[in-house]
Amino acid sequence: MKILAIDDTKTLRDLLCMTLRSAGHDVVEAENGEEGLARFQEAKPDVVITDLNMPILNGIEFTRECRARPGGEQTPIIILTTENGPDAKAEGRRAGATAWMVKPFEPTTLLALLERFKN
Amino acid sequence: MDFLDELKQSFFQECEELLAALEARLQALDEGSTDPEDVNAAFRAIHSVKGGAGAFGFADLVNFAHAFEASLDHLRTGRVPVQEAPTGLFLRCSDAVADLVAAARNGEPANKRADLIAELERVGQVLETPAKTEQKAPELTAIFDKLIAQVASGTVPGAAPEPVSAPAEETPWNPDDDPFENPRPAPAVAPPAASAAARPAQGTVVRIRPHRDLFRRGIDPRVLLRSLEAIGPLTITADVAAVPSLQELDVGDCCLQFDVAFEGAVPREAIANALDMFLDAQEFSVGGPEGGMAPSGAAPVGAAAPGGAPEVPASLAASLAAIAASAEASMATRNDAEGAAAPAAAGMPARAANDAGQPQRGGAPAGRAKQVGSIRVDLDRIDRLMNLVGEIVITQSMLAERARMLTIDEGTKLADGILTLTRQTRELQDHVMAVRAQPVKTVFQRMPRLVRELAQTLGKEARLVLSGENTEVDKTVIEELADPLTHMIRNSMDHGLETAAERTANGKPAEGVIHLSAEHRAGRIVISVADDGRGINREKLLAKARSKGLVAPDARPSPQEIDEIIFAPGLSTADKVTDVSGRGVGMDVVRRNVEALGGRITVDSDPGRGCRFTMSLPLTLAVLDGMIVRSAGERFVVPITSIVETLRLSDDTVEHLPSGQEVLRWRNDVVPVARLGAIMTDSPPSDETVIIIAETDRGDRIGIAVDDILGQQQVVVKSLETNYGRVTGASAATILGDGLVALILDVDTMPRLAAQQRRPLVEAMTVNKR
Amino acid sequence: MTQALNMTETSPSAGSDASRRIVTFCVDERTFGIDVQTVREIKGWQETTPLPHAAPYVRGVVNLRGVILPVYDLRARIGLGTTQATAAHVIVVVDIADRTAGILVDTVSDIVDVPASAIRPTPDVERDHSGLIEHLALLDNEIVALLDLAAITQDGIVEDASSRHANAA
Repeated sequence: MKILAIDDTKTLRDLLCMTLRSAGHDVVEAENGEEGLARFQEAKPDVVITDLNMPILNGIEFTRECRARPGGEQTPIIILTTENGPDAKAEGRRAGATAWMVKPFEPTTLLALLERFKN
Repeated sequence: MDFLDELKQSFFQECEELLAALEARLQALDEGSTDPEDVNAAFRAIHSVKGGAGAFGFADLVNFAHAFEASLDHLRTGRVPVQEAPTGLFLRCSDAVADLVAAARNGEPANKRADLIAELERVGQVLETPAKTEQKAPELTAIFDKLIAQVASGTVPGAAPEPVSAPAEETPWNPDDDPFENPRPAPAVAPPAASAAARPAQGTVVRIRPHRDLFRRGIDPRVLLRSLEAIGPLTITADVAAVPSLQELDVGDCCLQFDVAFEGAVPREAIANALDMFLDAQEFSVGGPEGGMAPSGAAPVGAAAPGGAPEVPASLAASLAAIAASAEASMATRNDAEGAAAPAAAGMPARAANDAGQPQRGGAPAGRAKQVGSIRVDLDRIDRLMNLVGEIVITQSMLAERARMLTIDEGTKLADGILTLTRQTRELQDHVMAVRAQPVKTVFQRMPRLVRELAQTLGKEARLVLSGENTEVDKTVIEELADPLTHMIRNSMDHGLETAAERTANGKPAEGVIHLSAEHRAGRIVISVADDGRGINREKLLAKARSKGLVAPDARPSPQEIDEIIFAPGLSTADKVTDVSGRGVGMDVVRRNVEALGGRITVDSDPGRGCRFTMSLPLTLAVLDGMIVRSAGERFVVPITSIVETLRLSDDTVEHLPSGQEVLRWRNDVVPVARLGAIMTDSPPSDETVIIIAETDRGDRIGIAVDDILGQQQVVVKSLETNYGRVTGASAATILGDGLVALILDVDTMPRLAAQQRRPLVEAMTVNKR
Repeated sequence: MTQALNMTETSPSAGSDASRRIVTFCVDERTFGIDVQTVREIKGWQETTPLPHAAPYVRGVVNLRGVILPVYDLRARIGLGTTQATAAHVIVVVDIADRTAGILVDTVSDIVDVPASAIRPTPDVERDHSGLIEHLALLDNEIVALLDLAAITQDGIVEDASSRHANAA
């Protein structure tokens, strides 16, 4: 699958990309939401995994923008964050996030989740 | 016991409840109720029995239940007016069903009751008129045709959402068209005709009620269902009730709702873990039994009801699933040493499983933590819990005893803690006791049948009136109630009530009335059996007692004393030995049994007008508050409830009657003295200085002389009879804080033992001094 | 002192059905035996709570993990007087039908396999123990009296005080 991975922290992004690539996924990276939107338009990923708190355009804003764009209405968007409060989650859901995963992520859990999005 | 046997046992247990409900409803109809709910409930009960019986292949039971059901159906459809219902026949049929169930349970050949079936079949025919047959209810198939048409057009009435398995082409999550899916068990699709009530609610049920924006969040329902599938085998039912008509439908909206029924009980956490990341807490709820962690991704173990299974009572289905689940859970624990299984949670299927399985209307927030009304728990588990509480009581008293050995400084520090522990232990115990409490209804319900049968055998007319059936009492007491009650009612039917002719001649209604009642009174349960019969014939009774040597020829007993003779061993007042009370069991046995339970039984007779037996029993047989006393070096427990007062004994307060009996003047009363050491040990009588004035259940006072009072505490009642036998003078034993056993005194026997004690006194001393 | 007999590990193979596995113990230098299957555990002596209206060989009851266990004094039962119990004495906990009971003995000696051919009916001279001895097992160096457990524990309850004194007299 082609996966867009968005995280402003390089170490975490690297870790995420490593995990995904090792499982045979095609990974596109972005440093923040704005860059993420650009990559999304070009690459047309199957799934997006994004951090929540990022400069310029955060995860929620990215999701909302993404849903509003053609081709972005139904792409699964997974928000990967340390936030676990019901309010944050509800906000994510209202923005159109598909799933909410709490960091630190378990590589197998994440990969198993991605498998479920395969068609 | 193998798996199938366990299932059968669940069925039989279910049957007992269904039969009780059936009888209660029929009884209501018999008493003139015209409430359609009585008819419906009776019909449902027999229908459920039939369904279960079919599942296990009890052909005779199915046959009979079928005829019964068909006959009751006439009432339901109005073909036979409720007022004209042959309730007598129906009640006899409910007895017959009970017999058939018992036969099936014991694996015995059953009387098929062709006679009753024939009568049942006549019920519809006699009253059936051509005019009425035309109003026959529409054929079932027609109803379904209509329903299917409604589903197809999306106009299913929202008031009664009918879960329908979505046709394959509309089921995007059908794994058959998904080559990605590994050889994972395909989710079974519920049979199309499954109604909400009939759908097997055997396992944990997850209701998914997504917000309409589900698709707009990029959530494909398949993803949710695959996540759940990883937990265990399941059945998915789509609920289209919320789908609007085509004109109103927005394809971007998710109007589908799903009910996911796991075959077994699965832990709430596993479901929450799978769905939390996708859904709001309001978008799904978990109902039904939850069980131990099933091995993730493992093949299904111990499948529950197979597809197209016969209709079984929902709560039975839940029990079945729980059995399967607990088997699964225990396998999981066995296979995986560190298995996070929670077998304790398994095997406790929710009674509300059926309710929980009902689809929620619309998108109403269900709340994930929906409260389950009640659960069904194995009595074994409660017993173990109770035993454990008993152990805690013992440990706590042991701690208290150890604390007393400490220095005052250390001791006071501990005392507070122990006091709190004592209070908490007591509270814990009360709660566990409350769980064990059952309404006496479970026993009372067996009595109407007894009266019906006895009335037939004896050729008498009788009606049983119940009151206070909901009075609760500990299950240890419930279990012991059936026998004495049965005998008391037999006695009233046989000896108390007159024949219809005799009654009419005496200006009484032909039908006799037996009133069975229960109530709580002063920490005890009081149960009485009162009849409006002839009362005790004192002359006859006294003559009989004299002829048997039970009463001295010159004795002049009071009326009350004569009535009491009815409890004397080996007495029968019936002119001839009847089938009813000629079983070698008389009221003497009843009294013995009741007294063995720490209870008392009394009789009040009003000649010509009736007789009332009243028994009072402790609310529990499991624990009691006791005073720990010492006598002749041994410790004994005196139940607090029977203690009136304690006092010091001085020489001048004890007097000797000519018979040798020691007595005590106490509050203008003369009270016999029982020297405990001499009664309960082999020691010669000594100069005990403390007197406990106790009252027997019969109201007699006795002064129990002991050496010392050691304290008061709650003690756990332990049976002496399990491994030994009845001990005269002791009702049971207990284990004290130091781990040693002490006997619990049977205060009621003390007056008799004190009387016995006085004569062989000298002899006893010589024997012991040898 | 509590030593549970590990029967599963030491039980003979199913093939040797011709022999019986016997737990032997001593009372007053006599050797008695009971089938190993009936033995639940072996406990050290513990103080009993005496029961009223009981035969002299009923020592009383003890607490066996929350269950009230009656203890029978084998020495007293065979008419040799009451055991002066010490910490060295042993209670053999046995199953008798659906009940559990403790038998007070001096020591537990051994577990032996006795071939069926070595088990003999009780000769008439031994009948004085009122049917307590079911069989005799003839071993190489001694004779073991196989006890009828049910007989040992029955008749322990004396109905009331007067009959107790009649018995004792």
